[in-house]
Amino acid sequence: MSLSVAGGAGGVRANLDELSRLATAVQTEAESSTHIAAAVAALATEPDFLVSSALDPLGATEVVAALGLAVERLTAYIAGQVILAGAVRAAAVAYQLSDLETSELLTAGWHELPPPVLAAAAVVVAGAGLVWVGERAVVRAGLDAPAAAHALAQGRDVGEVAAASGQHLRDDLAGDGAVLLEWMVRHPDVSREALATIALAAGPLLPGDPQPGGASVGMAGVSALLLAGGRSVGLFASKPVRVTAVHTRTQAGPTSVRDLTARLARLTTPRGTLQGYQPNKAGVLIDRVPGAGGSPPRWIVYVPPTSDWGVTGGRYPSDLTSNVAMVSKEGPRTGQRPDSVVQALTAMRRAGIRPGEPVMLVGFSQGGITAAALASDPAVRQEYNVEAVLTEGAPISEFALDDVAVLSIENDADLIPELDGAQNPDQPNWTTVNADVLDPQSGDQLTRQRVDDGEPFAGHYLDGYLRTAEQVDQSPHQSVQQWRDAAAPFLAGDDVTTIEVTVEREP
Amino acid sequence: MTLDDTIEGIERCARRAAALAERVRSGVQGLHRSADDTDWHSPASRAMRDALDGRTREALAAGEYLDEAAGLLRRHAQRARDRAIALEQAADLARQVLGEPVLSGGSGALFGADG
Repeated sequence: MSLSVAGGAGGVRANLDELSRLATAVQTEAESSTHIAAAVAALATEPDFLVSSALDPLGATEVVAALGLAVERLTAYIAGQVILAGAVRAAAVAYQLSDLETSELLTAGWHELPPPVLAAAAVVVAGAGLVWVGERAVVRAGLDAPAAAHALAQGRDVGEVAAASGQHLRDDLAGDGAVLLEWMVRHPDVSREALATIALAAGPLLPGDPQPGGASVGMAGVSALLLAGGRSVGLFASKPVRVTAVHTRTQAGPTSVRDLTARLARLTTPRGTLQGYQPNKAGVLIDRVPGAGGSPPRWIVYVPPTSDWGVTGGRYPSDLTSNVAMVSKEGPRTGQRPDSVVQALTAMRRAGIRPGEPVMLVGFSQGGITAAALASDPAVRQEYNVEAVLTEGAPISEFALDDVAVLSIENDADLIPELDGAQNPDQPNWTTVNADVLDPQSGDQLTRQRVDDGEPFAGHYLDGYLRTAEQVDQSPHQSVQQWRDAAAPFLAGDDVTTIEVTVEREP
Repeated sequence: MTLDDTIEGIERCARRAAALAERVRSGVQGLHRSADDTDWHSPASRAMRDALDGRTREALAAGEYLDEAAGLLRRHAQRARDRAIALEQAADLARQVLGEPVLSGGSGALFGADG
């Protein structure tokens, strides 16, 4: 079959046979690379090599290290190729569907999507799973190598040693899904790549012009598709919000990134957003910092993280419904702001922030997304003088953050900032700090221990970000200093008036 | 198993590592030819092509590590040979001085009488 398609995603011409051939070539290359990776891993367990290790242990260690790095790169390559093959096939399917009205596709529920699209998505997911199994095999081979060397040196049969290692691998694979999450935590680059490619696969399904390097467009698009599909069956409903409580008190103002992070702890649990909603922690905190020499006051707005994982638009606006809406860029697309953005703006107005007054936005996790959504909203920027933004553990690479000093802190073991499938852009006004919290020497011992103990989301816990914030405060890096300079007027340390505003959706 | 057999085995590993590096590079080149042959022009396809390029950098890096591993294996083979010979010479010397074997290990024990 040869079919030319005009129009559609970005005005394309596609030869579906060629697309199919490309997908097959990518898939074949991935399979071939899998065999190569297995052969590379096998080199480290060659009997001649193991036996000779006693004579040159340092040299043998160097060889194993080089082979390990080769396997690691090959694994990342294979992961990308398998998923890319699925993406190419999904794109071909999407073009075949181009006789469907895009709006129909967008408003259809997932169950209404044509089977080939769902099958393509399944290929993507299954491919990622196969790669994971392959990686586990390589990891197991590495773990067993010293014991195998010892067993072989004692004269045990090679086949017997290999069988024992195989049993270990089967035991590994019998573990629960937390192992997969842990693997993703330890391989954030591959996870980000996988998410970006999945987004890429969905890109052609969406209206508008995909852009070069448009993985981020695809991720927003995936969320848009999810939002439209969910709303067609009554999920992700947006509702008006109202202020239900206001508490005010006076206290010492923050003077550092650590202090700002500690304030966020008022809005969530020590382990971040994943321990469930706590009623006394749903609100927007706002510090009113006295202006120097009669100038207007400055305001620090702490936006709450996810309070609830409901998909039905429940009582509190900072929930999954708002997450999906923000990542899909619902505000810029439709003019309808996500509820968590409205929540923050409602609280800001209730606290008494006047138009033109300087504002710093601070947010962790979903709070960081909300902060970025506010700072990239032209109407908000016109109303308020947003001078600085601090985000922690938030996927915000897709937001256009110009003319504002942004500091984004991301722990490398935290999957949440990877959910946008891209790294933050390098801009003069936007500094991103990545903390390698799993590093055996310089990392965060508690986070590393938690990950080792099977807590795959430990990298996202707010107490870990608190410790990272202390490191950031010590950083002499010019980019961090530049942000510090921009934030300095907000961090004078004077007594501030803290206003806690609880905002809820109307029943 | 003799010392020569073992050293030859390690050198075989080195040749295999180098050959695997070549297979990686050859696969990448083949894939790029397939991509070049695809008549598919759109912003989305360019993004796909960018993604492909990004991944091939991973593969090429793997090839470089394999080249490095091949070189390290050759050096390891040479060192293993040198140390086995040195051990054997030390054992011979000890036998000459003391008149009796003092080493129960060494290259002879590891690799047999021919080693």
